[in-house]
Amino acid sequence: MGVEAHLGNFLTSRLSVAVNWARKNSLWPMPFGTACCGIEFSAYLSNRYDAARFGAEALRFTPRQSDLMFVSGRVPNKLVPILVKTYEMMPEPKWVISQGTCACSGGMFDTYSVAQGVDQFLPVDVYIPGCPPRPEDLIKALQMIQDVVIKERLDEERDREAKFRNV
Amino acid sequence: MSDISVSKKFNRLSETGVEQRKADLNIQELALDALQQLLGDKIKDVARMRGDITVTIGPDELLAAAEALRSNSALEFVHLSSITGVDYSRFDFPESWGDIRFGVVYNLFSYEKSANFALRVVVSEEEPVVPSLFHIWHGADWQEREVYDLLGVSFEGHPDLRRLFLYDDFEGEYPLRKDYPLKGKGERDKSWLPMQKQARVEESK
Repeated sequence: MGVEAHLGNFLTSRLSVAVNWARKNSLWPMPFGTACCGIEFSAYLSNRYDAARFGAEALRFTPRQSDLMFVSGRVPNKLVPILVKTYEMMPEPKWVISQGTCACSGGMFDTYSVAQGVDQFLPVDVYIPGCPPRPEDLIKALQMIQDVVIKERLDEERDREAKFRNV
Repeated sequence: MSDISVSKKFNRLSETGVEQRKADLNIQELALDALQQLLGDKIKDVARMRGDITVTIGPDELLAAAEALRSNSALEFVHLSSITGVDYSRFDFPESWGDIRFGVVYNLFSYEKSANFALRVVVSEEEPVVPSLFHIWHGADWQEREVYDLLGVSFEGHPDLRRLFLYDDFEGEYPLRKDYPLKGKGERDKSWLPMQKQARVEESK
């Protein structure tokens, strides 16, 4: 369009675009694997499916160094406080993927001891159905998380957290 | 316990396997004899399933029976493989047994003689108390706690009888009992509430 000639060596944009571009391509997942979905998660990280293509291969087993939580598998009542505490340890901004039917809704474990969906106590961004979901589903979910990340406003994260808490 | 039934069940085993199984069954007969000598009429029932023997007794006889099975030099059941609690509320037992609600099954193993044995104790709903075998087999510690936690059978003389699997502030009763609703009494919907409340309080500070 000929605009470039007048711009010189700089480009105007929003700060959030640049920051979110960096964030979405360097997600550090925190695996919270409690069941067979955790095995599928391992497969998704392996070289056949290669999560490194999306910049999300750097697993961190401490929540303090990660910004994307995979809740893989059923969550018993006894584990709920631990899961919430782990989530709260993660620095902002952070996102949550609920992997598998059990994490989404309790699934076949419709019993006294299993929480019926982690969205009761975590702000879930993407749900992956399936029992267990295939690694391709996880890749799709990661791409959806990237879409969520790129649209995020920089001042929004705290609001999101507070909004969820007050529900 | 004829030779035919043994060979039918173990037809894929080698000759040594069949011999071992026969020896196992012989030891079980020995153990039954020892118990019959010790307890006599107090044995409620002797069940045989494919040659394996299960002896049913009351809680009063348990300690004596366990001690005999462990210390008898011909048996040496030094290993308590597992303790299982059973809710027998849908079973019919003979009138003479009294009002039976729970059973606790002890599976024993003898390394020396390579033999199994099963001991079953039945108790009523009003008084679900069984003497603890912790002082005979230390492996009974957590297994008795599990039965206590999920079924509500308490073990007299256990040094540290508290919950094993369920969390400390679990509000329901004993979820493995048959009359406990499968979906619980609302505890699964409440379990996350304390966390949520606490977080809200901290945020408002």
